[in-house]
Amino acid sequence: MRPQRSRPGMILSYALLSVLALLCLAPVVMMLTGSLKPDERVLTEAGTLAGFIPDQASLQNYADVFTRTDFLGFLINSLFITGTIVICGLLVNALAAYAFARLHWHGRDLLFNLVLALMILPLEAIAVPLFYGVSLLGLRDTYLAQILPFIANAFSIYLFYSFFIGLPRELEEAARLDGASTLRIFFSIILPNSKPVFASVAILSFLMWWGAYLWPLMVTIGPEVRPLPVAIAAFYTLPPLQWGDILAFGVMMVAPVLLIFILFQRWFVRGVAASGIKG
Amino acid sequence: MRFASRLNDQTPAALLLIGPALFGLLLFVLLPFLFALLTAFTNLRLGSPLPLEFVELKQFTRIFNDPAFLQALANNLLFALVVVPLQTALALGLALLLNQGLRGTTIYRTLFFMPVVFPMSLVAVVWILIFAPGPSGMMNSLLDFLSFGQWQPRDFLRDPLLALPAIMLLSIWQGAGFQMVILLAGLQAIPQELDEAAALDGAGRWQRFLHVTLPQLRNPLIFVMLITTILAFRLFDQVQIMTRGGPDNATTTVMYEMVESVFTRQQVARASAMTAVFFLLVLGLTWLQRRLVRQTREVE
Amino acid sequence: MASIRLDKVSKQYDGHDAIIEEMDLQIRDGELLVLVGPSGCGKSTLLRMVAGLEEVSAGEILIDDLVVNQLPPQKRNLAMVFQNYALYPHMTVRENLAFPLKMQRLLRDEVNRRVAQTAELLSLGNLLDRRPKQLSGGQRQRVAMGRAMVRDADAFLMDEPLSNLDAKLRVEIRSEIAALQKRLGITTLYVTHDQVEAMTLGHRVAVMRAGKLQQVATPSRLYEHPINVFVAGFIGNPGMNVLRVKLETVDKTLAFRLGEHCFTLTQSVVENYPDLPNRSGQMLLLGIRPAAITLVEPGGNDSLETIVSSAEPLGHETILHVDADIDVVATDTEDPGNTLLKRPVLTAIIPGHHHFKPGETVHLQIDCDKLHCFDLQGTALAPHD
Ligand SMILES: Nc1ncnc2c1ncn2[C@@H]1O[C@H](COP(=O)(O)OP(=O)(O)OP(=O)(O)O)[C@@H](O)[C@H]1O
Ligand SMILES: [Mg+2]
Repeated sequence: MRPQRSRPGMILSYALLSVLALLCLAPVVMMLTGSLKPDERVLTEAGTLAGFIPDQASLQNYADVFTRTDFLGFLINSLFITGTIVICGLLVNALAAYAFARLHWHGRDLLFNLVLALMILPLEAIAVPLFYGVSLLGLRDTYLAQILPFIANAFSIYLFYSFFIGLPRELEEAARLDGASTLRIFFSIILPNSKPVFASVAILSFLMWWGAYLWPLMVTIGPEVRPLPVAIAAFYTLPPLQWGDILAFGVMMVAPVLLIFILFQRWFVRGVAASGIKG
Repeated sequence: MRFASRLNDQTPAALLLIGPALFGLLLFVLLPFLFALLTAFTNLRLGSPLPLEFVELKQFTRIFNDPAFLQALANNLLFALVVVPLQTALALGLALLLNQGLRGTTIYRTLFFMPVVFPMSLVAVVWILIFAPGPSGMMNSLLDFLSFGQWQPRDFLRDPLLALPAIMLLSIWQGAGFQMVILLAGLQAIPQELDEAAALDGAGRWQRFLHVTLPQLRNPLIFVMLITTILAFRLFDQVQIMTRGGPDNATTTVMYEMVESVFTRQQVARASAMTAVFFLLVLGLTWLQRRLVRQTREVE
Repeated sequence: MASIRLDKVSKQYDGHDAIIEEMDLQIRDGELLVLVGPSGCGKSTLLRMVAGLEEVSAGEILIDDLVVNQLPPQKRNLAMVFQNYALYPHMTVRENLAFPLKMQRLLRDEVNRRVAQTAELLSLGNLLDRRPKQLSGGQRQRVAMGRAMVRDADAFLMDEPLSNLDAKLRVEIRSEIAALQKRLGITTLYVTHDQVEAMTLGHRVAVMRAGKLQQVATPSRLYEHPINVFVAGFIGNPGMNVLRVKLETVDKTLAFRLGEHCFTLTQSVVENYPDLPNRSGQMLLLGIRPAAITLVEPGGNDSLETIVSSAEPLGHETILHVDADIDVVATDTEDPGNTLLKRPVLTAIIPGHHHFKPGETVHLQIDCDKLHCFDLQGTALAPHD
């Protein structure tokens, strides 16, 4: 704990924090209350205090979302795409990082430097050729195009690598003497002792792909494999413009994530902080 | 590395382990990237019957003579110049406030971080409502309230002067929490003895902040500023959803122009040239950061 | 059980000087051999080469006459106890003990039986369901021992297994290890930098210095007949004093001069070193154990007048450091004959509890029966049987 400030200082701190928290929270509350109101009142009351009070609350908007769009389908798309990227990514990138951090092999340093170099390439720098390739192969509007290219990730490898390199070497050496094979060591010794980094990487890549917009916008055409972020933008442009429905869509879209976030917020915070500590 | 014998040469096992990741990185990152660099010098179009030609720097001269692209670059730059300092200062302020060991810190931290888990497309849609034109719009009435009734209601997203600032505002709302958490971790990593030693040496709170805290926070600060700057140049989702680059290119960005080129006009080569420009920007920024941090990265 | 043999084993990292140079060493079947030497001399590296965790740069390592240079650690059937124990933190004690057995694909009943047996032997019974974090240092050490014992390895390798324990526990577990090793009769290579541990534990002790083997012998032989001044200075607590003196012949007997006084060599010393008479008139290094120096009343013949520089009363004995007008050499250099200590400090062990004041004058006598003779290069004069 840092030294406590004086009393007036403390009150000032709380006042500042509370004002900022209100500003931070306002759009979220507005979204939630708006989603419970009749569509026509959302826009007119957004600027008044009434915009934050859910009188006459009803779930009509939520019902409307399900009749007007295939919300469940989009949710399943998002879950499937993000889930696959995250889970496969954990395995693929952790295994690679382990080989870089611990095994002795030809070309290791060279390839690792390549990985470090690739780390600075954001998706945007490869979106065009990737889009071209996907179009040529006729893979637009598929899950494959939304999943496969993003499983291997240089930054994830780097995060895993930094963690593995700090694990005590003796653990693995003891296991080798005990007769364990490389894969066995990875799964029985490394993995159980690396929960924090797995959580960090999972959370970071989840946040990244759950909210991804650019790429799915480019490769999806119809609603079949469309994920939520693209779906809500499309829903917004779907006439008639009904703000209550849109906000209800938004609430349902973010609620599961928010719930997970509040339950595991310590891990979220740690995961994000981990991404910065190396910087 | 050479190996005197086969004892510790684990090449077969290693190839097995890195195989999938390497396959993915080469096929879906390196190869496309190199392809983009190459096609930037051609006339490649999706589905075009014209033969593929090498056009030297033509695509680059074209985009740099395109007022929309120049405007996009300028917008990105302006966005970075405004958002990076503002957002970093805000995040630093929040981190400092939360690092005093006050009661309820966790709740505040959760609140401030919450927007980070909101997908940007959702944020954009919600903020369209916040920026709704007319006196009943949320932002308009807030400004009306704050200016004691002096504010004239504006249509933020269709106002060439206000559209970009509006987008900046929601970007800060969504992004500050991310920076805050990183800076908070940086603050907590500063040994408290340093602060105490400075206090014993007679340094006031402001002096301690300037001479102890800030220098210790140097690397995290540089890191979050780099991330935010790069994010500024990747700006796309908000623009595409809220303004489509308008009004009158006032909010267009490099990414938006790039996607427009390849997506609506099938101009793969032109978009590749923009990719190259974008990449050079990112490369320059990253290089700058590495220079500033002077970190020695260990390859074991 | 097995014997381990090192045949001209060398170790060198690319672009560095050799860490181990042409080392020959044999650990006999059932023997506990202690490898001792100052920090950084390459003990761990050697042990890790035997384990297969480190590449051998040149030479051969043989286990039961089979060259194992190319054999990965998994296939050597050696068990190792690490300095920090390397217990698997996410497993309970039981799981830690069972892990090597599971790797051998033993049936579950057999695994349970062996784990129980080992736990019994080490009295770990009531700790089986704890995690390493919930154990004390001594308990962790015992679990580490258990993990090595449980699997019928051909030999034990231990790298400073006691260095993370406090002094009292160290003595306790030291004797436990000795008893266990004796009971199991398992070939053991034990690395330490603590010469007390080496002397109390080893059937034989190998002294290493800067990658080179100095001497391999039983503890008593090492103490009685160190092969050079390095071993002489390293073994014993405190180590041997080594003085540079000129050998003279006075009245037909060999003698040397320390300060004012002339000390004559006794018959037994001369018999020990038959070469001595030929060296009359030459410089030579003389080793004197601190215990061979006694306190005498002033005025007696053959006593050395010295000035106390410091004293460490330990209760049953007092370690005395004195300044005197003599040439004391450093024992841990390449050229001891020409490396005089700046402050010639002589160390003596005086029985009983004494208080000496720094600066006080004391008179010391040297037991000339127990002298060790070395040439100027520091090698013991031969033959020393
Ligand atoms: N990977 C390496 N590359 C270069 N030199 C190394 C490497 N590993 C160890 N060394 C050097 O080898 C020497 C011997 O190290 P080793 O760990 O075997 O010493 P030690 O006798 O076990 O010492 P201690 O008693 O402190 O454990 C040291 O000087 C060390 O610096
Ligand atoms: Mg060692």
